[in-house]
Order: sequence, then structure tokens, then C-alpha cells
Amino acid sequence: MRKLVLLVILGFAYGQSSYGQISDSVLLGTVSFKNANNVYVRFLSTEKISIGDTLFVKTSGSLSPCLVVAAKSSISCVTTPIKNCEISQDAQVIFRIPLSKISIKKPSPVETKKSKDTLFLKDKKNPADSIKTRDVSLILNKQKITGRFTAASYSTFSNIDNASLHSLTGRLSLNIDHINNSKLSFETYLNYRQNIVSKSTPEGYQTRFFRIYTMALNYDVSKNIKVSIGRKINNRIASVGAIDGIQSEFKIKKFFTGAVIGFRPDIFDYGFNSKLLQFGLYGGFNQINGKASYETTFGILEQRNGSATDRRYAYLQHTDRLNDKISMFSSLELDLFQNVNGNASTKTRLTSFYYSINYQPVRKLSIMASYDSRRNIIYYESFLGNEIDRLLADDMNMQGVRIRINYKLTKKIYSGISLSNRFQPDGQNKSNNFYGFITHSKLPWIGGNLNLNTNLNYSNYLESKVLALRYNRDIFKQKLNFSTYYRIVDYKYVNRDIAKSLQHYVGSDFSFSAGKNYSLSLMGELSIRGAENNYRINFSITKRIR
Amino acid sequence: MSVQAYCQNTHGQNFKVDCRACHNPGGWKIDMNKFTYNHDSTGFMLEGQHKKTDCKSCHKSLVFNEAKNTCAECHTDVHGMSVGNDCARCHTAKSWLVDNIPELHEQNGFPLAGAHKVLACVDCHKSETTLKWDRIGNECVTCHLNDYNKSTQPNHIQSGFSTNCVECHEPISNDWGSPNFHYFFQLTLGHAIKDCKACHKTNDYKATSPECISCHLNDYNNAPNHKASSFSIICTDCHNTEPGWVATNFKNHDGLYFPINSGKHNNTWNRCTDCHPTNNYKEFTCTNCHNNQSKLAKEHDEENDYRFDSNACYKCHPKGEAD
Repeated sequence: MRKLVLLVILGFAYGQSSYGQISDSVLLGTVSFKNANNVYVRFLSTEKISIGDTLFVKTSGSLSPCLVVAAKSSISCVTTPIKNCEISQDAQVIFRIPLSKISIKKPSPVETKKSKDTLFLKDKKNPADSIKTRDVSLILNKQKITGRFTAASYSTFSNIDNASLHSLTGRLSLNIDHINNSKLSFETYLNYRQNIVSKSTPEGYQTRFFRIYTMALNYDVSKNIKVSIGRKINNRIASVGAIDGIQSEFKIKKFFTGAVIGFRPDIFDYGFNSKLLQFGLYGGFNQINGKASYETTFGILEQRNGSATDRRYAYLQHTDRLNDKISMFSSLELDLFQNVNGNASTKTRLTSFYYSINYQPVRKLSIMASYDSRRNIIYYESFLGNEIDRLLADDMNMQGVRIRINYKLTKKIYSGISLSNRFQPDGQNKSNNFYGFITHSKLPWIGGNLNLNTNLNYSNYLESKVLALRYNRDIFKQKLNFSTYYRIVDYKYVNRDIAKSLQHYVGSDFSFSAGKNYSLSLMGELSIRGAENNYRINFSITKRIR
Repeated sequence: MSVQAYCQNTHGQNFKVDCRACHNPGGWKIDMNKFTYNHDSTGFMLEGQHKKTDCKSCHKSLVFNEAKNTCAECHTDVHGMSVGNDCARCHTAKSWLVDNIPELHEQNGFPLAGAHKVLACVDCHKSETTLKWDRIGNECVTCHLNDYNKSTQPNHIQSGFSTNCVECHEPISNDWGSPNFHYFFQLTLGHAIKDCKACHKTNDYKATSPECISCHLNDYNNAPNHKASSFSIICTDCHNTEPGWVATNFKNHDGLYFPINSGKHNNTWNRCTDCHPTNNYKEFTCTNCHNNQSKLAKEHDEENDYRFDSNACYKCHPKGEAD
């Protein structure tokens, strides 16, 4: 009877787990990997194991020393075998905890915040579902600098009247996450452009544009509270554009809410304008559930010019990914304020609506469809009276429908078509467009890709037909990409019988990757229409900041 | 009995990729030289700049399928939602800079051709951000309303011209006054006049008739014998737009008087004065061309009424034929 009880107790104790702690004095591990020099042993926790400690195996009922710990992580030890001790993968290994360490508190397998070394946290409710990672505060607070600087030039010139345009652009984006491993981060996105034109220009014509889209300090007050100060575009309310001021967001579980207060950039030069006060609130919720996710944001914003309301509107944005096949996006703006001839009212006006859906039923086929409707945006205080009248008189909503289908015919041949239609109730600004292409990748013998595409467009006054052929390939171990193309374009006026000559385009472009941080590209194009020759040359160099 | 411990994967429970595709026994740090995992299998191909991006920029946690895979989730929308969220319409992973701007404009029904090809973006897209594509459509008057309002040669408003600029102007030409500008009445040859007022006597340009006689009535009245001979007021019966009023044709001459556009006399004359030597077009001469008197006399030696006289010629040969 005693033997039976002992047997049951031992059997139960042994059956706890294949690695774990069967008593206060012993830890069980399992050999997870072996190579010529080392044996890797996994434990539930290696807190009580030190480098240089010995690990034992059970042979013939007794413990024999077999491995010496050379290095360790929170749950794994790298060991070297002793005296050619033979041990196989998945074999059990035992560590005898020294008496001095026996009183050390065992780490709980579900402990999160306090145990910074716990790598795996088992979700108690849904063990088969997603696994939360370790407390990532240490990872997130590590300083990280990323960015990109680009210098580019676009040049267009013609032999007709020696007309030309040169546009020089410099662009900088920089993100410094967790400055000095703190909770403070910095982001900026700047753009400078200078245009050099050959034609005579009217007085006041601008040729230089310096724009700051983002320049803000972000502070993580806590895991759920963030504050930003400076100029920043909030991705949850993207159509608002840049906000000069303070933005804060508070998250709790799947809900979030935020407030913005500050100023709107000047409507003429995008600089700071302290007269254009704006403030608002937004809220929403998001959820990630396996492959599905969705996020909805609703906000209200008041924009002022001085003490008068310029614009007041509600904003809604929704992103939905049902699974890895279907995703949707929609946004709308609803004006809640009108002020015509001094008569202010809360009359609503839908100024913008956008909806898109992406569907990929199988890997070979992808479909995208979208609809948009836009009206003039009116700032009742910033715009002059007659300008407001003109905008309201031309207050039709311009709409667009687009559908794009891409299909992979074979492993190397893929094709697609795109249909789009822009229209408005009075028939103006019409554009019906058809675009189709077929591409053969990895051409035999010569390599590279060959693309044939056509575009047909019909507007109220012009029909255009384009046919193009493009070849591109990577060379020098994909560091250099070269492409060349030919296009032929035929324009025809709808209601006028004017003989036009065809327009021919021929061009090439080169892209070069110099290491991980530098990219260069050069594009040149010649177009010929009768006696008219036009040239385009684009050049850019990009440096990654890491 | 033994109970197998619960094995947990840092990268998510459904992560089935072999560890060796990314990791190696040297340590957890990824050695890109030994990295064999094909990211294309996720459906998000690492092309262009995405190929150089650090993994952690997109994978904020070790559970890889939590990474965002739409543009807007990682990239700030500097266009302020003015063009939706379909970034691939204009951009590629190669660079945010766009090289095929003319092609994109063609797909939107406004080709950057003619005078529009050397315009800066901001010349049309006037948003203060320079990157917000507010609705401007593709009708000329949207941008050229000021040009319409300010034009004085002629004054478009007073003349009641349509705001459909294409009625007179060509969007893909290089200037306002293209050769086909006055396509409904060709301003060539005798009509190559720069001064619109020469024909358009009032500000109502549409009221100007394209009929020749509406401008050339005085010329008709003052022309020799036009009125007296009841010549047609359809000037093109005899004249073209060459300067000088040289009569090059008289379409009804055959039926009314004498065949000169058919029969023996077709292509035998250059101008009316070949047969009508004076301003009195009732007078004519055959003997100007048929001037070999002795030969003619011999040919007519059996004709009793023969006389070397134009009227006599016409009396016997009204159709210009020998018989």
C-alpha cells in the first residue's frame, strides 16, 4: 500500500511537465537543439541558473553531470558537454538549485509587468489564440533614428519659343523615436521647391515654396496616453491636414479618444497663422482579431478666422480588413455650418465622400473599386463674398467611379484593366478612361520585363489614344534597374475637324542603389509632334538616414 | 506518464515558418546573409524602398501578422485625403517622386500637351500645401476665367462668347492664336487680317455674316458691269479669296452664255479678259484666239455668211463646237 501511494505520488510529480519545476530544489529542462559545439537546453525560467553551473541527466536511476552552462537567456541555456557526455535532442536535463537560491520567488508564467525577462505570456482565456509578447517597454523606449533626404530636379523644355521649366526639390523626413531612450520622440517632414520658368510671369508670381508638413514633438505619457505639440498631420483624421498646436490621444482597450487645439496653416502660404484657430474632438475604436481588423474614427472640428467661424464640420473615417482577402476604406466630411450674406445657419452639406474596396479572392486576381464625391470647400470668413457666391453657384459635386482588375495569367504573365469615370450633374468635367496592360516578366534569353499598355480617354472636347511599350530589367545583382519605352499618342478634338499629327514619345530611366542608404535615378524623354520637340529630364538622389 | 509542456511561439500561434529560414545557431540576431525567408509569400512584396527598410519599421511587435499592410497605416497622407487611399495610382515603392505625371494627366482627361507641358504643378493646383489635389476638373474656363474676362481683342464678355474655350482655341496648341483659331471662316489669303474690326463692325461678333456680299456689297456695286450685267451676288461663283479680285471661275457661264468650263474651251483661258477685252462683258471676242484669218477663210469657203467677226462666230457656233 505504501509503495502504491509512493508510486502514485512520484508518477504525478513526474507527470507535471516535461520541463518545469518538480520541486523547490530541481528544475527540469529539455534539449531543444544541438550542434557540433553546443547543446541548447530550454527551461521555463533560467533565473536560478548561473553561467558555469552544471546540468545533469538521469542515467540508471541516478543523476550524472553532463553539461556546463556557457551562456543563457531568460529561458534557454547554451551549454558545452562534459567528458563527451552523449545526449540527444528532446532529452530531459536536470538542474539542482543550490540551497542559497531555493528561497528565490518563482516567476509566475502569466506575470507581465514586473518580470522583464519573461518572454512568453500565455493568454489565460484563449491559450490557442494570439500570444502577447514580453513587456515591450524596453524595446519601444530604445532610441531609433530613421529618415530620408531627397534632392531632385524636373526639367521640361521645348524647341517652340524656347519654353522651359526647371523644378528643383529638396525633401526631408526624419523620425527620432525615444530621444535618448526617453518617452519623447520627434518627427518632421519638410519640402522645398524652386521653379525656374522661361516664360514671362505676372507680378507676384511665386517660384519658391518651402513647406513644413510635420514638425512635432511626441510624448508617451503612458502606454495609453500620447501628446503631441507642434505641426502634425493626424492619420486618424487625415483630411483635416496639418494642425499647429497640441494633440492628445487617450486609449483604453479598443477605444480611443483625442482632442486637438491649435491653428490652421495659412491658406495662402501654409505658414503659421495665429488668426486661424481650430479645435476639435474625435473618438473611435479599433480591434485586431487574427487576420481581421477595423478602425473607425468620428470627429468634429471647428475652424475659425479671428472670432468668426470659418468652417465647422464632422468627419468620419473607417478602415476595415475582414480577412486577408477583403479590405475597405471610407471617409466623409459633412459641413455643419453655412454663412451666406451674413446669414449663419447650421445647414449641412456633404463636401466629401470616399469609399474603396479591395478584394483578392485568389492570389492571381485582385479587384479594387472606389467611388468619390467632392464639392468645393468654403471658408466663409477667409474667402471674399463674391468668391463664396461663385463657389456656391458652382456647387455641384464632382464624382468619380473607378474599378481596377489585375490578373496573373501565368507565372510570368500578368495583366490588368482599369476603368474610370468622372462626371458631374451638369455634364461638365467629364472624363471616361480605359487603361489596359499586359506584362511578361522574366523574358527568356534577355531577362527583364516587357509591358504593353494602352490608354483611351474621352472628355467633353478631346479624345486621346495612347499605346506604349516598355521594357525594364535589373542588372548588376539588382543594384541597377534600367527601363526604356516608346509611346504613341493620337489626340482628336470631339467637335472640330482639325488635322493633328501623332505625338511620339521615347524615353529611358535608370535607378541605381548604392548600398543600403543611397538611391539615384535619372529619367530622360523626348516627345515629337510635327516640328515640335519636347524634352524632359528628371534626376533624383535619396539618402536614407538610419 | 508525462505531460508535454505547452510550447509557445513568440511570433504567434499560427506562425508556421521554419525557424531556420531566419535564425541560425549563432544567436537570435538576424544575419541577413543567411536569411532565406521569402517575404513575397506573405502577399506583400518587398520592392523598391521597402526592400531596404528595417523589419522593425513595419513589424512593431514580434507577432508578424499584426504588421500593417496598407500605405496609409504607415505613411502620413500629405494629400489630405484629396485623392483617397489608393496610393498605387500614382506612386510605386521605388520612390515617392512621380516621373509619369504626363501619363497620369492623360488618364484624367487633361493631357499636359501644348502650352500646358511647361507649367509648374502649382500653376493649376493652387492649394496652399502644394500637395493637396483639390477638385479643378478639366474644363478650360476653370483656370482661364480671368483670361476670358480680361480679353479685349476681342472683348469676350461684350461679344457674348461662349465659355467653352475649345470653340475657338486648341488646348494642345502652344498659344491662344493657333492657325485653326478662326476655323469656321478661314483667315487666309485675302482674309489674313489681324484687325477683327475690319469685319466685325459691332461688338456682337456672332452677328457678322460669313456671306461675301455682306462685306463686299460696295465692291460688287463698283465692279465693272456686275450690276448692269446682273452678275450673281454669290461672289464665289467667279472669285476665290486671293487678293485682287481676279475672277478665276464663272460656274454658270456654260449654261447661261457659252461653255467655257466644258467642251472645247475648257482649260483654254486664264482670265475673263481673255475673251472679254473691255469692261462691258456683253462684248466678247473670238478672234483674239481664233486669229488666223486666212486659214479661217479657207475653212469657211463654202459658207456664204462667213465673216471674220466674233458675233458671227457665236451665231454659228453657240456651243463652241466646230459643227
